Amino acid sequence: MAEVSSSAGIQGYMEFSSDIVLGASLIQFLILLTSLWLMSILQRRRKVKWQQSNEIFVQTNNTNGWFVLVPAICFVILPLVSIILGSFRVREVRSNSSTFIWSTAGWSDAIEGSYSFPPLSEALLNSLIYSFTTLAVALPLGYILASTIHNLELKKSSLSQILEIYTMLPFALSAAMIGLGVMLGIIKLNPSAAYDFPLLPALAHIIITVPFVIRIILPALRSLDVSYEENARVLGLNYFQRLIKVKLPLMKGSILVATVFTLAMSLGEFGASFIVARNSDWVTLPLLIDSLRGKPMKDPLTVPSSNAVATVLMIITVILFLGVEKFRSRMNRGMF
Amino acid sequence: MLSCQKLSKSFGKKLFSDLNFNLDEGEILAVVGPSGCGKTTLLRCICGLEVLDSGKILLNERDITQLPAEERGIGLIFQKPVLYPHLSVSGNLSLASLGGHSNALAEVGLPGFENREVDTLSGGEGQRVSLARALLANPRVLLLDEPFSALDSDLSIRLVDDVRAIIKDRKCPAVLVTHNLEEAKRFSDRILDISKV
Repeated sequence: MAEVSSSAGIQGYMEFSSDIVLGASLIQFLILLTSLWLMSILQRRRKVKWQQSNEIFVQTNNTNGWFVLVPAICFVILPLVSIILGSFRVREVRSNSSTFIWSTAGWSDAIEGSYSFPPLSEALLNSLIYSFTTLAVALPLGYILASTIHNLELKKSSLSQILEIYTMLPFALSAAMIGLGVMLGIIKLNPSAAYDFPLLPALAHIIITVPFVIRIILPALRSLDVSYEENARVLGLNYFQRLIKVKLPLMKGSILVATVFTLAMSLGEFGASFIVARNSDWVTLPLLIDSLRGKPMKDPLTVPSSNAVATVLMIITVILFLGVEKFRSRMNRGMF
Repeated sequence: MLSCQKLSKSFGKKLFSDLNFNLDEGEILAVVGPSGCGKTTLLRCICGLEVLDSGKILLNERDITQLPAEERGIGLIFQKPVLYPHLSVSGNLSLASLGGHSNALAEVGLPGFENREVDTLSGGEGQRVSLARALLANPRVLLLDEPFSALDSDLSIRLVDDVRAIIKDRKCPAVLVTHNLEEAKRFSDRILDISKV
């Protein structure tokens, strides 16, 4: 592999004759596997839910907590607020100087689109299609894998650990690498699919989100009292009846969290989408932000229009997370 | 009706081997023995939640040894009532049968409990709901795994008598596992000391 890397068919060009690259890659891969294995062991040991502190005490008597909380809130909120404000601040260039004025021109530019960039609505629609396609595949796939790992834990522990580490591999890779892998894989299978299969970005999103779904669902499966399943079996419920009537309702908090995580991650995913969709018309919200941001800065709408798209993306994800947090506090379950 | 032939099971150590017993219609057998002697495991093997090392289980002359638990038609009541917290009492009963909830609850002495949430039930009420649900599934054999052990003595005696009457009324064969010999005598027609087999 190292012998032919990036040679592009030209003798001696970008060709590494030593095995150092291959050796270093192997070492890196072993470190990665060891980290994932340790993570898997640590999570198994944390099956018991620890009561870390009394919620009422923290809310009423923990005044020192504000010294941590206030800077943390500022650190999180201020950049987000600056994006919203930035979408309404347009630079006005005069003869020798420039000033900023409040305007909705950035929003109009993003909404209308141009010859170079699709309108906001098209990117939003693409993002929603990709995120719901990702959800439709990643959630059941993640559940099946988590369930398989959990069942194997009860029978063959070593095999379950291997499967758990294997399913976590995309979790530890950069999104750009996954996008590249999807692109190379699809070119091997069917080169034209790289240009005419519009759901290709969703494929990359599925690979990225499945490990997250597993990480959310697996602890929930582990914490389910086994007598619920056994009692349903002696009542005569078959596998699907037990799944629909017992398991899924008992795990609905975790499933909701996994759903929101999957949607939010897919909506905001940039690295893999950039690799997979860069030569296509399948522009998502993060790709549109990048494209608008890449316009020459002499255009006064470059920053406000990209901020307008970012604001839309932010509002959608904030709504999703606020919804799930409200539900989680009511249910008092669901974990990550 | 239920015939257990040469049942053997071990978990590292031998729990029981070559265990034989038969149950006729409406007959109640109590299995007694010290802790860890395999009483609960025996029930779990009969209802299909555990796999036997060897032996055969016949129900109405049919070999059910290899059938999964959900296809055996054998009910099990656990030591602690297993009620699903996301469902009401009626919702829990609907897992066994979609109708007849009122009659089933009246039969176990809990009329009008259909809409109660399960976390508002006492231990005894919860065990009665478990019994009503198990009976609603029309089991051909009912297995009871120390269902009265977590209750106070007065309630336990009352529930023992009530459950026995219901089982006898339905002519459903039953196996009770208990470490309480008095309870075994009061509830059953026959006692099997598994530690002496």
